Amino acid sequence: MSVLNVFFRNPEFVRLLRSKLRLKSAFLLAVLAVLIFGVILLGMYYDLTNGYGRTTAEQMLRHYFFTVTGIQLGIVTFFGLSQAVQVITVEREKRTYDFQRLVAMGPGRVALGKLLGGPCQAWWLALCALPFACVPVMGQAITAGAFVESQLIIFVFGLTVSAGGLLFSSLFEKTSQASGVLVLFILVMFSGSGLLMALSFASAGSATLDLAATASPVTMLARLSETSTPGSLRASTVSFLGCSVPAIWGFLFLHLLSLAFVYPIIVRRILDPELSFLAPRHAVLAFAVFQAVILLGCWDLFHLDPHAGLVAFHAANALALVLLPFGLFPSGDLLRGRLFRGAKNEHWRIFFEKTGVLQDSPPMRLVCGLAAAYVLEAAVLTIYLDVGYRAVGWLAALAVTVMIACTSIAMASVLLSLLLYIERRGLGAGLFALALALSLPQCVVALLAYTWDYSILVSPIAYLAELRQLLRGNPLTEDLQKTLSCPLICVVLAVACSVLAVLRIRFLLDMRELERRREAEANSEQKPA
Amino acid sequence: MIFTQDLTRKYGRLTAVRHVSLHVPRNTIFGFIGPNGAGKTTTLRMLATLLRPTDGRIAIDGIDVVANPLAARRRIGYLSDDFGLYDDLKVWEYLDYFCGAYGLDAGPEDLESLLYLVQLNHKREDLVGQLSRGMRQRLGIARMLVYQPKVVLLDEPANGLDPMARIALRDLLKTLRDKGATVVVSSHILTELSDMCDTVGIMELGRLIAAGSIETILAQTRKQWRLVLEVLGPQEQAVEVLQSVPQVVNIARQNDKLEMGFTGKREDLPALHKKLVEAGVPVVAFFPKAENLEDLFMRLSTGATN
Repeated sequence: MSVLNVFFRNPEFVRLLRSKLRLKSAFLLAVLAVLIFGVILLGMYYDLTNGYGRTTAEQMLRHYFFTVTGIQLGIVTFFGLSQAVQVITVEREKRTYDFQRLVAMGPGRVALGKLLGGPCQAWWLALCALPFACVPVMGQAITAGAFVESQLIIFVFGLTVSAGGLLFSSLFEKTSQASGVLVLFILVMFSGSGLLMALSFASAGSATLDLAATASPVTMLARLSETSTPGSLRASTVSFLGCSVPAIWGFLFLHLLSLAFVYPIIVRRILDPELSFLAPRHAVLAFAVFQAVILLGCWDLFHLDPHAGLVAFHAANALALVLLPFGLFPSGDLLRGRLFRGAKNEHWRIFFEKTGVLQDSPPMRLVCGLAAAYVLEAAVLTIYLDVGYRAVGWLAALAVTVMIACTSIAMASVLLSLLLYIERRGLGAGLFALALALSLPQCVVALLAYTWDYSILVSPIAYLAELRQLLRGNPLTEDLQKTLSCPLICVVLAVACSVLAVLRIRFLLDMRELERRREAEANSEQKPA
Repeated sequence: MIFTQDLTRKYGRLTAVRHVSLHVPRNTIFGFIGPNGAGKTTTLRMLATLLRPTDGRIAIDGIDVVANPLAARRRIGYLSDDFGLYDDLKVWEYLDYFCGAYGLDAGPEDLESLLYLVQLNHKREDLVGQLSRGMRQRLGIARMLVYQPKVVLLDEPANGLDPMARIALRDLLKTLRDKGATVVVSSHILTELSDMCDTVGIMELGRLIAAGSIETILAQTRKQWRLVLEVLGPQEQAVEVLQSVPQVVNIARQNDKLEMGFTGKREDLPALHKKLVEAGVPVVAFFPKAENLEDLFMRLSTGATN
């Protein structure tokens, strides 16, 4: 009952149910479900009785089961996502959002209600498919365990997807903006994840790939369908810290971890959209968990192929550390507010200030701290995985760590400058700058030299792609210039960007001082009158 | 009840609110007056915890609003000028939602009495989207009343309301004050505010240029009294006498009356009256002209906007 209370005692969930799933719409959706799944069942039965396609009733029922669960998955993914992405933006557009932020139940419960109730039509449609999914179980073609596991996969993945949609909804003012960026994000994820895997895990052929694949519900359902006898996913395992654990555990672990990461961001956005996405504590915790997942996930790879393991470790950290500043910066207005209170010559103090109650300080201190933690961790890992590097290999291992830490600091400094210059659109401009910084150098070098070979000198991406060769100290790549050029550029960039950001802060503090003086003069002139 | 110190808010390069220091005591209706763009809405949104101040402090019922917004929100009821409602809910469902959101276990009778208070009991089963503008405004106020906030913040609440609805709104706010709430209401319709506010604050270009009761501010900012004199017959003799008094300035004829400024004190007025009578001026009426909020605003405001 207490679990049901979480749902039905949540006013936001109840409101969304009342808004979207009144008796009439619930009935129409149920009819739609009956039509879809009933027609498929009839079609398959027709195939069976007429001798086309599937030959046995059991095979037909198994095929039907995975068709129904596949459609269920599609419904909660696409229909659910399309509903979740407009939950908050519609509130903003209809000017009801302020009242929600003010209610005493707090942003946590509001977010939970939205997460569960936002895509309620998709959930309902998927729920209406349950009786049809039960048919193969009753026909003993599928075990009850497999049935429960498939529904668990659909539910948990639906929750993750809804949380993603809700996150995008909380980031943008308008539904059209949120939907558009979400579509772009999905496209980038599809191509980017492939790229990352190719970069990190290529030729590794290890269990880490399994861990990544475990996150996919399609893979999980496919595994479920591939088992020859009616059974559960427990037959399928995933390697984790050298142990084989049931794949369903891996799936649940990864998705619940994603939810645990995304949910507090949504809550924070509801609490105050001007704050940073991640609170400092949340960022530290997320970073620590991320490191644990990377280390545990790559454990087998570290022993199988230490070089590939290190590349995977650095690539994942590079991505995390470059994106980290985007999660830690408050709005440009708040940053300017901090400078408004600042005194002359406080620029370095403000630059490295610890985040206070007003949460409007630049998070440089935290970024530097996390980058330092990464450097330390990488050093320990490199020493632990001692595989008899040659001198250049050791140098490359050190250089790549410094390069990634400095890239993160440079990104944070650029973001700080951008937010101080253009305030409201600073994060978007920062993303654009990041994309430009990552793609432009190698393109320019390739254009100038008519080859991609020299891009390693200027591009961190190219450097990471070649890292395996550099770590091995391959005679072909045993070249100090190649090893040190890009990391040194990143160090210089980090220093230069930081100094530029500090100079900008100093300029704004001087301007504020001038403004104060003018105000004081104006007040002293007014008093005699 | 409400205390702000050096409250400042910047939007980029624009400073919407500058160093506003304010104290609103318990059980009062405080009116924010100012032209559009004066910073009233920004100030109210900061008080309502919806916007973070760039600088300064806000305390509501002793709670630091910036440090502890969630605790402050339990005490605040806020109604913005262009608020929206959930059009696809029924009227009772809308109130039920907010009862739940504030952790109140309100039964049908409670909702009924609330709807009765805002005269919407006959619309109980209607969809919110079908209500008229005035009814929506009343429902918005009923939403605030479900949890009886200690501080009620209203931004231009009378916008778009007909005269009857405005009177009902005014009475409702007075009822709220009498029940112990502190009401802050912003408007640029001055007559509306002067009828209901105990104290007012005048904002311009983000600054609070005056605050207090209307009478107090009038007295503090008054450089001269405006006097009205009505005499029987020709006014020449009266003008002659008045011109001989150095404190009387700007004498103007208004139909059968004379209007003038008087730079002296209130206590000097009987002496002036006596002088007129002793000079044989047939005085029918002699009184200081009553000033209202509009005069006060016109006196203090330069009309500049952000």
